[in-house]
Amino acid sequence: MNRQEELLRQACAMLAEEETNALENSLSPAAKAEAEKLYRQHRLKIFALIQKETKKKKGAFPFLLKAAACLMLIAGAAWIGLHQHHPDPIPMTPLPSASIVPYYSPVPTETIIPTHAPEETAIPTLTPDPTSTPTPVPTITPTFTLTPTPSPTFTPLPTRTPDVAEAAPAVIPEETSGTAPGQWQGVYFPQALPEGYAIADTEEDSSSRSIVYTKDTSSIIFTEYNLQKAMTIQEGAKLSYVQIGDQIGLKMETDNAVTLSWEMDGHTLSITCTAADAEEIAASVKKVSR
Amino acid sequence: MFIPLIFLLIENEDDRQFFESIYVDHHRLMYAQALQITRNGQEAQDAVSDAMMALLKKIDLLRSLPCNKLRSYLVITVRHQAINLYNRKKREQPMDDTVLTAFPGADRVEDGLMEQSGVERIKEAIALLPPREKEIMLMRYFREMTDEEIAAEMGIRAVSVRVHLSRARKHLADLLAGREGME
Repeated sequence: MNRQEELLRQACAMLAEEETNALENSLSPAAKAEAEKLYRQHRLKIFALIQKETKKKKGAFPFLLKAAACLMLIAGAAWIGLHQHHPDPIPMTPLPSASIVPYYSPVPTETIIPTHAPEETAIPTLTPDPTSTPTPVPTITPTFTLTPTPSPTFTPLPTRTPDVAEAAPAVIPEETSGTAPGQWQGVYFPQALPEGYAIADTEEDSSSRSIVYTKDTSSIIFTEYNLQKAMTIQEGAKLSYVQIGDQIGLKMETDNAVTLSWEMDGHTLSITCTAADAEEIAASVKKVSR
Repeated sequence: MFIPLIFLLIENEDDRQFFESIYVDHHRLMYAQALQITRNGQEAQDAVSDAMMALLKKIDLLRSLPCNKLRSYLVITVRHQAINLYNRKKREQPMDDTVLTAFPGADRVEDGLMEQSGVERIKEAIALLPPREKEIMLMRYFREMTDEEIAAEMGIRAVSVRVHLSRARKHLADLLAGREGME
């Protein structure tokens, strides 16, 4: 870098800082509030963007290099594990023979009193007769006779032209399909809710629909948005990412409720619970079959 | 078994936290800058999104910047994205990309002049450049973008970027030499 370039860099950096300071000093409370509002509406999207881009940012080469290093590490550890001589975990010292106490003493043979005596029977012994000639063993030659049997004749079954309805391909239900209450017109619905909750309200407009379940003072609200939507984040909410199926969801925890929001196939889904386990409910959300 | 896998994720996790923190720390200035140019909330958000995309490509540079320079870098990046968005919205060609001709020897005009002028005076001269030339100087010398990166961001050809820079340096030299309206 030559001297001129360095001077230009320094001058541009000074100018940028000066202009940034001027911008900061010129902001009215209304402009600050407007900026804050835009930030609140938009930040979920930016967090998602950051997460997505930082995952794929690193090139394939360093990743492969690291993956190869990891595999070598694992293989090396496995090899060492297999080939290493393992000394006995508890060293064994041979006891002096005098101290070996037998578990049992041999019973002296004199003390064995037979309870019964076997009857003495003469076993005949076979003595070969030197005069007899051995009889040759006949060899058996198996003979098979194959009798041809007539092959059965098949009569073709009567053919039938299928109906138009039958000709349509069969609809194979999706493995992930679930059910929903009749009034739910959405695409997704949770398949597992804690016991005792009953539908209290439903709402629907052109872009979203919600269903509210209540039990005593607790409630569960499930909302489905037709499009990707950045969720509004409450002031002071604790934010974290959670895995919901194969999606990453945003968890917002406040003093009295937990809200999970995530995307599925272009829809934004959210569950707000005051007492129940939102993650468990979210994990059960499936596409509704109709 | 899991430790090597965690090791693979550390770097990305670190980048994510770094970006989230700079965004959270400087969001007010970024949105205010975008809003000042676009005068439209949705477009201001789009400008910030575009700026974040551009910033994500410069992570190593951003990590090396001191805090005050990092703040300026974010604001200037948002400003450039907002200007580009505003120009696209108005369906105007952001810069005349066809009739530009370089000033012969413009790169050499300021030889010696820069040295004599000092950084403060160069800064004042850059501030007096026509807005487009000033922004392209900032892109090159503050955001440290290549010709190709500037071309991609502004939607013009790389050769035009070189011509614009050449023209900006000629104007700068004139300003420093007192041939144009500088004290």
